Amino acid sequence: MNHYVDGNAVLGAFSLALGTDLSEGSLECAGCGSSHAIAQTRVYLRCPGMVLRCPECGGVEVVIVEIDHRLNVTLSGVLALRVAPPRASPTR
Amino acid sequence: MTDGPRLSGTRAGGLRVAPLVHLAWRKAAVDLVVEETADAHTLVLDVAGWPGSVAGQHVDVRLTAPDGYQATRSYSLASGPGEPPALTVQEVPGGEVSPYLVRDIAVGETVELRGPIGGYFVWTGARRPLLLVGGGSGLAPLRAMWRAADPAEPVVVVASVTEPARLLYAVELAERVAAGNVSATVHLSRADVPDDAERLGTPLQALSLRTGRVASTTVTQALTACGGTEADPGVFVCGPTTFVEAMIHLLAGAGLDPRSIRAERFG
Repeated sequence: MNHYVDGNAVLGAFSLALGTDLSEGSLECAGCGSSHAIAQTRVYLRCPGMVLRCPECGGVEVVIVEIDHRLNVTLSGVLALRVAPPRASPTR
Repeated sequence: MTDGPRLSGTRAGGLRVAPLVHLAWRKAAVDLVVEETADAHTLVLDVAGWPGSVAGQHVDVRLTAPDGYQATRSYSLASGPGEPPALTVQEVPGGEVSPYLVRDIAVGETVELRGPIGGYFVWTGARRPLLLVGGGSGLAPLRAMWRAADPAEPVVVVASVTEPARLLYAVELAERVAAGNVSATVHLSRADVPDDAERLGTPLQALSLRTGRVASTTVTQALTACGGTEADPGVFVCGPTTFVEAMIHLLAGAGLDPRSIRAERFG
């Protein structure tokens, strides 16, 4: 099934939940050990909350659920989260 | 970039974390509505303090119903880096958000917006020339990229649409082809190129139209026009998931390292 979008779709909510801009962040999958940009994860939105899956092995890495305006983030499938420093300027 | 709230406890020397002010919801007023096709409109927005964007970034848009129910969707910015934010919204029949943004919203009305967001599917000008491959409304962030390119810079565009009437930005593409730096090949996945191309109207006559889905020959020609795989072009693919996967397969078949391709899938 191809009912997924890219990690771009959750960068806003994920960044807010963790308190830093994850636009250039990357994840290391706890299942298969591969590293990839958050933007490359497969995101499933047709479920309660948002599920981020590894683009390599398909394992669940992150689940984000908003309940009563509170963001709940489960990082059960993430071995490491890497955050890039902010850009000097938002324009090129 | 303006200063925003910082995380406390960042003790490592010189470590800065990205300010999050741009992720607060802000009011965005519709300044202009452009009817791109029968069911895709571009909304040019007025956002106080808009910081500008990097080509390829997106924003989240939030609608709130009278009963408090909220729906949030991500839309690519179709506007160039220094321009006011513009979103091209393709209506998804039965959707919660897009029918409102295409059918109902009027100039002067507001939505909530946060962004710009994104640092992966972006073109900062580092890799060139540009090869932009878009399926359907996947052309939206690619428009931001060809607008960000210098007027003299070669840009190769490959587009796929079901039929001619569904092509976004046909006039703008034709103008850029006429200006000389952009070449555009448009595949019609569910329509034949008419024998009498003049029937399609002026903008489409300027574009290279081909019948059927994007073929390997088109991809190979586009890569060659960019100087070949060794030229390390900036390759961006955006569209429905199946389209993106097919294009990555074709580009890899033409010799491009798949890891060098930046892709954005929207379902």
